[in-house]
This record gives sequence, C-alpha cells and structure tokens, in this order.
Amino acid sequence: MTEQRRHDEPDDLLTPTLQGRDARPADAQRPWRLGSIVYVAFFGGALAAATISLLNSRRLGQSASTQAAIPALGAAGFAGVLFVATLVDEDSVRIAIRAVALVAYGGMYLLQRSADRVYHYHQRDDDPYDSLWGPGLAAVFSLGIAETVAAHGIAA
Amino acid sequence: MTENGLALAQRYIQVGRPDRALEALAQLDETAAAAPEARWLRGFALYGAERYADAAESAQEALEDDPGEPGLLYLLSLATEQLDELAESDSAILAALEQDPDDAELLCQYASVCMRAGQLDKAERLIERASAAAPGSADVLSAGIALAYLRGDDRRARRHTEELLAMNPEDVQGHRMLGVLDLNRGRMAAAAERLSEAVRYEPSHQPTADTARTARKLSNPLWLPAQFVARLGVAGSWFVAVAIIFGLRALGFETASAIAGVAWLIICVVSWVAPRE
Repeated sequence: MTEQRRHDEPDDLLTPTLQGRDARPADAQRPWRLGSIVYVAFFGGALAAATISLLNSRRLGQSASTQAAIPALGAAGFAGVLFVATLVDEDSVRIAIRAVALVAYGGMYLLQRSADRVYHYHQRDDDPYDSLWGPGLAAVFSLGIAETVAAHGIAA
Repeated sequence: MTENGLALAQRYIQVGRPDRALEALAQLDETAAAAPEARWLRGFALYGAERYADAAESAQEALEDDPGEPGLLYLLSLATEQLDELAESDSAILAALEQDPDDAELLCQYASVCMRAGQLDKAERLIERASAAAPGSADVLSAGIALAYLRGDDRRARRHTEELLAMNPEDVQGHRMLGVLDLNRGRMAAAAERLSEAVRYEPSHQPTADTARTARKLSNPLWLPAQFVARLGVAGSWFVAVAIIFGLRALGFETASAIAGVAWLIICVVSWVAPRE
C-alpha cells in the first residue's frame, strides 16, 4: 500500500531544478580567495570586509539572503565599533576596530565557505581566483579610513 | 576477435587506461564498432580520457539509435556535467531515473550534478535516497564525501573517506580527499604522502600530481609559518595573533608585543608567498 502510494505520487525529488541554468561564462569575474579578505578586515575594518565579501558573494553566485546577511554583519560590526568607542579611550579604538572586524569576518567567511568550496572543487584553472590587491586597497583606504574617523570622533 | 577487443577495452577502462581502450576499439571492424556495447565503451573511454565533448557526442549519437538507454543517458549526464552544461546533464539523468528511480548509481550522479550547481540540500536528499537503496555502497560513500567537503564538514568527509578506503584501499578519490583534508589542516607531510599514493594509482590525473607537488614543497620546514596558519585556519590564526599582540600590550609588555607583531608580520609574508594549491 505504502509502496503503491509512493509510485503514484509525483516525486518532487526527481523534478528538474537546473533547467535554464547557464554555465558560468568563461569571462565571468572570478571570486577572491576567502583567506585574503582577512587582510581587508584587519586593515580596513568591518565595513570594508563586508563590501569585499558582498562583491565576492555575488561572484560566487550566492543567494539573495546570503548577500543580504553579509552587509548586515558589516553594519552590526560597525555599530559595535561605535558602541565600544563610547566606552574606551581614543587609543584603544584602534584595537576595537580590528577585533570587531575579525569577528565580523569570521561570520562572513562561514557564510561564503560552502559556495567557495563548490566553486574551487569544480575548477580546472591553475589559478581560479582574482587578485584582491586593487579592490582590497581601495576598500581599506576609503571605508577603512571612514570607519576609523567615525570611531575616533565618538571616542574623542 | 570482436569479443576479445571489447573485453580488452573494458579492462583498459577499469584500470584507468582509456587511451589504450580507444586503441583497442579502433581495431574493431566497422560492424563490431557500430554495435551498442562498442559505442557505449567508446563513450566511457572518451570520458575517461577527459574528452568530454566527444563523449557527449558519442552518447547522443548512440541514443539516436537506442533512445532512453539508461547507460547512455548516464554517460551523457556525466559528460555534459563536466562541460558545465548542467541543464542538459539534469535532463539526461532524470530521463534515466524515470526508468529506475531507486538506482543508487543514477541517484548519486544526479546528486553530483546538483552539487556542481550548488544545490546541496537537494543533493543531500538524493544521497539519502541512494543510501536507502544501496546502503554503504562505494557510490553513496563517494557522493557523501563530496557533499560533506562542500558543506565545509571536514570531519564527516574524513570519516566517510576512511570508510571508503577500508572497503577499497586503492580508491583514488579516497586518497586524494584525505590528502586535501590534511593539506587544509596544515599537515603537509601527511598530505604529500596521501596525494603521492593517489598519483601512484592514477598517474594521468594532472591536478592531483600538481597538488601533491605543492604539498611536498610545503612540508619543507621553510614553510612552517604557512603550516601554522593552515592548521589554525585563516580566521583562527588572526584571532590568536591579535589576542597575543594586543594582550601583551595591554599588560604593559610593550617590547614583547612589538616582537610578536614583527613575528606575525613575517608569518603573514611567508604564508603569502608560499606555494598554493
């Protein structure tokens, strides 16, 4: 009876879910190494790490919910830095920015790890990743400086 | 003569020599070469030789004469998956599964296509179904290993891999996976040993040979800092470094903090320039 019902019911597991899905174009932008984003987090803070991670998440083709979670982590990290800045002296703000950014980066890393492995596992290129030098430095010198100025402003 | 040629080709495919299998099949006369089994073997030999476009074309041609043959649909799915033609791979494996929805090998191939597309939840359900149909089979274990690795669950990947190697100590994928897991954890000597074993069983697989070479280089004490970073993980090593550097400073050990900072800088530079997988 159970067996009969199982064969009569439509099998949702065996329905196509990949139709219309194109192959990754050869000229598609390659993601960055997740491990390299830690440098952006350390030198640029949570906002810079979130920006780079968000762009990387798009390159990895992650879902909209994951892409939304990354800036949320960045914003939470930035809010955390501003909060800590009200409690500590100006000298300690530098440490707070880095510590909070590394915690936020940990979350961003976990959000992207599986998609990064799916990408890397199926790649045949010798070097399937893009260089982070340009975008990383741009994020550090723009958002990193903005975050530092904001935090020092509050601490002062 | 024809039967010998087919048996020889099949044997060459089994031992990972698809080039020899193609040579054996080329010796067949026209009638024998057009037989379904010969075309099927030729398709698998082309797939084994990583000539995926030719393998897909061969399977499609054979399917014109024998539409719906599950073995050919399976081959078509394998080849198109490697070509990143996931919609076509999806259609082919589903057509095969229509005929036998509980075939573990077909279910695992479908799981593989889903994993390539990043649909890990669906892949997990397919593997569970395959496991119910053929508990403990090598196909199910292999698919489970890939899924665990892609999910970032390295412990489960290792456990499944050890089960697979207990069943077949010469399984190339098993040795390769253990090597990659060791490499990711900074155990470079163990990684080099495992990957060399995988190369020994499948010398023609260039990516494994390259990774084995990288692991051998990284097992040199010169790259000890890179091993340290790999062992703790990128995020973990930075947490430890920042805690030590700023902790020492907070406790008033300014000189020790500065030395730790310089040491960390050296570790970062060495890790940065170290050979990568």
